[in-house]
Amino acid sequence: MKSGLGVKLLWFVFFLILWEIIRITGDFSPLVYPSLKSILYSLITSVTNEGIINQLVFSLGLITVALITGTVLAFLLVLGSHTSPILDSLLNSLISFFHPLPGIAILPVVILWSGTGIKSILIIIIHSVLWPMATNVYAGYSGIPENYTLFAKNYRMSKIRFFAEITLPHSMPYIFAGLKISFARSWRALISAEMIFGAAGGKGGIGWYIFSKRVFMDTPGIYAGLIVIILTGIIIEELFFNYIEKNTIRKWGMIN
Amino acid sequence: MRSTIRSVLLIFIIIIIFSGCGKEGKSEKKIIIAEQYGLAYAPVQIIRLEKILETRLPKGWSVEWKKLSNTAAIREAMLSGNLDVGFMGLPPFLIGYDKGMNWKMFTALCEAPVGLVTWKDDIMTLSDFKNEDRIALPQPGSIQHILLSMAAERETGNPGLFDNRIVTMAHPDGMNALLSKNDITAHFTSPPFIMKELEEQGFRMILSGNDAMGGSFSFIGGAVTDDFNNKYPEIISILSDVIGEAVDFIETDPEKAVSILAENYNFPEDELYKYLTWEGMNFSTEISGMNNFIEFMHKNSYIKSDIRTGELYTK
Amino acid sequence: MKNFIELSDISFSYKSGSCVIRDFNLVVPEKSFFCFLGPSGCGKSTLLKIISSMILPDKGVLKIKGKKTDKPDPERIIVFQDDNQLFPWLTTLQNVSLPLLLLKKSGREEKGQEYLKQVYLEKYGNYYPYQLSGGMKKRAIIARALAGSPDILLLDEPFSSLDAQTRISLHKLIYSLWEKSGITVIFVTHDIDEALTLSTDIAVMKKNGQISALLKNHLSGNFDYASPSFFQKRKVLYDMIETPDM
Repeated sequence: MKSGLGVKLLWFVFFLILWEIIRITGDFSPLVYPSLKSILYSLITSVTNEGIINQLVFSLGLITVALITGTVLAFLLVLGSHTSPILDSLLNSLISFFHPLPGIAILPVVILWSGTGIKSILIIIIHSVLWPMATNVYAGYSGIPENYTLFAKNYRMSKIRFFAEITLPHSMPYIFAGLKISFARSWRALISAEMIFGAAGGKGGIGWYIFSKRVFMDTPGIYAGLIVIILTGIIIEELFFNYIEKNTIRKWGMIN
Repeated sequence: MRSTIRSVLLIFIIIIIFSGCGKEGKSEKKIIIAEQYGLAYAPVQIIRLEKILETRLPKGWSVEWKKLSNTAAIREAMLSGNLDVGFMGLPPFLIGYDKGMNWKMFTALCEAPVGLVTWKDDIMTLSDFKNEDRIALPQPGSIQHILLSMAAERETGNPGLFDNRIVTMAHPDGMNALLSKNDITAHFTSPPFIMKELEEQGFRMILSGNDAMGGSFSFIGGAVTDDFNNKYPEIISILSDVIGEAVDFIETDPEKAVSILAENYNFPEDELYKYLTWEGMNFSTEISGMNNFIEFMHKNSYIKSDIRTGELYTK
Repeated sequence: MKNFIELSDISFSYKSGSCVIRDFNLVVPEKSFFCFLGPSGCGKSTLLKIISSMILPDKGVLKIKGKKTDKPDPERIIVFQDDNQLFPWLTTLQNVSLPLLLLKKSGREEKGQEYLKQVYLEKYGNYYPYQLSGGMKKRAIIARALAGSPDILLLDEPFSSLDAQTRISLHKLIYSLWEKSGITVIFVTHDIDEALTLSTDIAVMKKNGQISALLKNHLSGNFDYASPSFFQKRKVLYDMIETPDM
């Protein structure tokens, strides 16, 4: 069940046309079911006048920071957990405590602790990244075949070298799986957080964009925001993740 | 190729079925009313708790009460046909009307002491706010936001001055954030939250709603969809009557009103009495200040059309 | 050197209590093609790990070239039976050259290519391991093991998962590589034919981890499976090996 970027975009256009057909044939209030034209118009003015691209870049920037921080933290936690059985059980427990907690659920606590600025949003999206990432890194790290470690012993590889040249590439399929889940989670957490407490640091992201469209009853604008989110998701998945995957773990036959 | 056509057809059918959802007709006659949380809704609370409307409606009618968390939700529920009457601030009503919602105001509930509360000693006026200061309020386009913009225009000439320093929070969250003296330096709020905040040591009001507006205004009003009002004007007139009676009741016999409301608001009776009779807390069905809101919101492009007050009201 | 590898009074048992080796003594001469032959579960692989110092004996001494040794080193390369020893993220050439990189040797590219050529994989240098057949992987693994020019090559049932044809051609290959390089090979197998055609010395193992017979094998390098002497020797060995528990 794989379809490429082109096919997905084709379906997307199909649904837009379908939208218009249903709107024309049915009797709907434009406040509920705006015309494709007004949505596209709203989309274009958002890009030209309201800086939706800047807001998107801002959101994605936050997520990138969170993904990197979360991944590094996940590795540190997993490396630490392999030094002692107590730390190992600690990490396992932490994962089972926090993994099921949606980012948005810790929002009230985060606001109490560190206010409503960028720091809080970052805490929430790092939380959404860290635990799935740690789970996956842990799986990758524990799954290193014995003959790899014996090989390293045989040639007296240093620990750092073993980590860089064997642990990391061996864990890549797990890291990728983790990154994909983390991206999806953090993207959702960010949008929800922005829709709940608005602009962080005076500069809202795409969630804030939709929220402000909602409070001013700009229905075409809401749909325009949704379209931006959908397209961003597709583009990141297809162009970013799939591209890197194709040139690494897929090329190496580590995943099919 | 045939299978492609078949699947496309199937998708069409499914979507058309779903697009017809959410429009099921009401079998028995029912009026659905939504309110929000706050002291301003006290008359509505009395009507609901004492089942006054139920006893006054003609036979075959029933009432469904809803509590929604913000005005946007009320508007959306009305648009989807799940709500007939809602209570809200005047600016969100105007925004909906401007965007083409078919609804009208039929009553006000009260004037109320809303205002901007801060704990920072060096903030005396709006111009004392620094870039890193954050102001919590329910949402852009809310009455609190419009009042803040009005004051900003009056004091600094720039109505949008604070638009990038607003943090959207429901009143209880905003109050908690303000009291924790973190990055939220001020909170534009309304009763009973404003009273609770002002009772805390070191919290001061630096801007009242009346100062911002330059006069008094209705804080909350009641709106009804044109659909409902055109079909059942007599029901709306009954609702108007009972609201009027409830308003009179609170104004003339606050002790008794408090005994009905205390449990519902979860306050001790003496505390609630103090809040209900707070200076500036005036229950009244007369809609006031609408013109000022229209003028300001039109001038600053919060609404596009130049609305006349007359077209906004029932009858 | 006669006492090239020397195990004296070696004892070892796993924590689980299984596979016990007790007071084990053995001398492996230099440049021999030495074989542990016996049923599964009699400690052959454990002995190989002890000789490579991947595990330390509870008691006893391991001497390599007369020197007491207790740490693994690149002079004693151990190869397991597992097919997935090549690193999937490296090309065949990169895999084979990796020991050269780790041992900081120069001319890695050319030398790696040279070893690939020795195992007839010179055309597959840019392939990734998953693109190779089982036999090709084995050859690449052997090339990689030889790349660091070790003195001793330890092979743990290296040919077990291959089909008969591939196995025989690999036998010939490893034998010629051994002849050319002059290194010492110790390998573990339960296959009598394999032991007979390849090894110069055969240690027949008992289930309790002791050697029941240490034989010189003059059929080493003689791949004539139909010769009378092959059959005769085969019968002798067959009778010597205990049947595994069913």
